[in-house]
Amino acid sequence: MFNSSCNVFAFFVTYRQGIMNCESARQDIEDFRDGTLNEQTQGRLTEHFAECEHCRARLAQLDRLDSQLHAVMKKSVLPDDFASRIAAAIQKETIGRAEPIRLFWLRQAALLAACLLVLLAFVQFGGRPKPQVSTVHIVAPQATARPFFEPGPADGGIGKPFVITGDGKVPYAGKTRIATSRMIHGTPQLTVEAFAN
Amino acid sequence: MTPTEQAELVRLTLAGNKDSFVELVELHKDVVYGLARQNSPSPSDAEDIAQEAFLRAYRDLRKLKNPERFRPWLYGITIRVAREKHRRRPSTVPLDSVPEPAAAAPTVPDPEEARLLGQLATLPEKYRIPLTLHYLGGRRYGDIAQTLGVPESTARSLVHRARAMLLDLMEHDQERP
Repeated sequence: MFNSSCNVFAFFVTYRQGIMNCESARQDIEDFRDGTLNEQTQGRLTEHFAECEHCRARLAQLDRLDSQLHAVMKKSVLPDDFASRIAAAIQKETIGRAEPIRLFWLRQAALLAACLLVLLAFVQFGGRPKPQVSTVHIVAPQATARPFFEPGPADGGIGKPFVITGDGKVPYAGKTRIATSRMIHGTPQLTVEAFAN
Repeated sequence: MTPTEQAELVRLTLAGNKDSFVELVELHKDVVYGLARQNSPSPSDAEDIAQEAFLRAYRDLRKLKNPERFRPWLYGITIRVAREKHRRRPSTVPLDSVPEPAAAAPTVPDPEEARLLGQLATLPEKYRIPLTLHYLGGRRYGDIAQTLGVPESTARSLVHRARAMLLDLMEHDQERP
């Protein structure tokens, strides 16, 4: 404990010489012992120790405690046969094969790969529906009936061609092919050529 | 033995040479036991902790990413084993209890040292372990930091604080009638 006389003394010392007081000295005393203080602070602390008996005593106490702790800790001794007992015990042991942390990341990577596969499959086969075709321009020979088209499947496109005859709706006998396909304002527009049979 | 030489022993152990691990045991047994001793109420408990720590280190050797860090890694295992042992028997064997005088007697004949051990045992684990590591592990703040997973500056201040607390305890005990 720092007594009041020490503090009063330190105040006068600080005021007179600009060196540190006991409170600052107490904060720096361990770093001083470790030798990690900068030169200036170390110099000021050394000056303080020269002036302050109480802090000098504290430093001596810490040095003594340091030696005591070192001595006490080193007195813990194991039986002589400890290492040979461990040697016998590890004959029955095996070193673990895998590293759980690595396994954890392997599992995460596998999970991520599976998610990506599912995502890819979804995009490829069942993803967002294709937009419905809004306009179909049909180019057909003059002599040929202009075919119509069945509605496309749910995911977009156009259905099978047909013509209207006296017998009603019959499949178009000729061939058709998509000549052009353009996106206009986000909607595909097709030009279909129809050929006579 | 340098960390690099110890790393070589680790590699040899992983390659199947069990004698290399026994060399590591010889090298670290006193520190491991000392660490266990400061965290257990009796020498026999400390011996069990030390033994379990070495066996666990052997079994988990592949988990050690950097073999040159074997020493702090082993100390970390020892602390965990001591905590587990303490949790298993909290009501009968308090970790923070003062070491048994009878057990301490053969190794600590000096009453002043026995008192110091008692005071050390009353420190919270947060301070006692860094302080123990500091003295057993050769005063290396870096090792303490790696063992506890804290910055070196934190390890340094934990040791400083522990020593200050011990000094205060000693002064308090002296003032007590």
